[in-house]
Amino acid sequence: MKKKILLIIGALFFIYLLTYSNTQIKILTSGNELIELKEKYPIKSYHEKISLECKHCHEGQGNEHIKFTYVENEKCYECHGDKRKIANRLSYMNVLISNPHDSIHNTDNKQIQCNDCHHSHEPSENSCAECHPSRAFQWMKEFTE
Amino acid sequence: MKKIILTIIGLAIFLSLIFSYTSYEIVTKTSTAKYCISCHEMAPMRAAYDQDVHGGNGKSGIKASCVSCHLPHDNIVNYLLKKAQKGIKESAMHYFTDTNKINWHKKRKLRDTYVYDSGCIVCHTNYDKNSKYTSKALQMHEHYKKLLNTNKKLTCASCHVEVGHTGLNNMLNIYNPVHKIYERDMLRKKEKINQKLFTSEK
Repeated sequence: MKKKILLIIGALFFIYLLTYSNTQIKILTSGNELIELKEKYPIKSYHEKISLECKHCHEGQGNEHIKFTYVENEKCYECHGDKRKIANRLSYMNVLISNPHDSIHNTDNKQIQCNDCHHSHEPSENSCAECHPSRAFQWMKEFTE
Repeated sequence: MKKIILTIIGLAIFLSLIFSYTSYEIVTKTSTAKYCISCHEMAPMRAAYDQDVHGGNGKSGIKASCVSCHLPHDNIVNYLLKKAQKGIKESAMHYFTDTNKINWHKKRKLRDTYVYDSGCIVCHTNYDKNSKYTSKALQMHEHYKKLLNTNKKLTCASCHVEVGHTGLNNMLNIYNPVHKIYERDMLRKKEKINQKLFTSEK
């Protein structure tokens, strides 16, 4: 009997969660959706400075902003140049084999994603420091843009 | 009487010719990279320029000069005024201040104040419809045009961060490393680059 009651409560809670998230989507995708979303997902300083719009990065992801998801490296490359060009921009770091964009960890089998360090809607992080805590900040900035 | 008028006219023509020729010579001679580097503290910028298509490192070898991008090209008066103003300011900085203390890494952030779109557009006339550009480039150039007359106006250099000076970030770090750990290695690189730069200048 107790089990049944618990099950019913659980099911009700689940239904409540579903409808709650649905209403959230409805609220966000109607009316002032863009303003609300932009407040919720502020873009990084330089992208903000050059007034980038959602579609510039999220094109091809439909028309519902709430369903936008993170983008693949290829999207970043469209503006920032390909992997080689990005690696060359920090080539002075190659002397200590510390160029994060030309890393030995970035192989064909395991591609590092731009988003691993450079987040667009939240503060970026230095992922190198996860494994190289003592050296990473001697090689490069603590926080990446 | 007639003779006097003729002499005056002749003299006026002669003097204005001399004046135009000397001013032309002054303006052109003081616009070469060689001249600019003689006073401005620009070794890393010059070295990066040499690596760039704008510095002659392209198939055609055509070079844009410093002033092609770093002076406004909207009208001749503005051009000459800016040239004189910058010339005076830069010479004063060179002779009266310690230019080694300039933080070039920080100055790069001001690039939209010292790279003039009117200069870029002299050559890149069809930047907004060149079919050889990627769709992303055209989309972004539309974005640029859309913001032109707003307070969010962009400049070419807002996005083209190392334009004219490929590898500028590297060069600046070779001359003045942001992170201490590179200092020793960079010193060696710097000497090599300086040697190449200043021996080829002569």
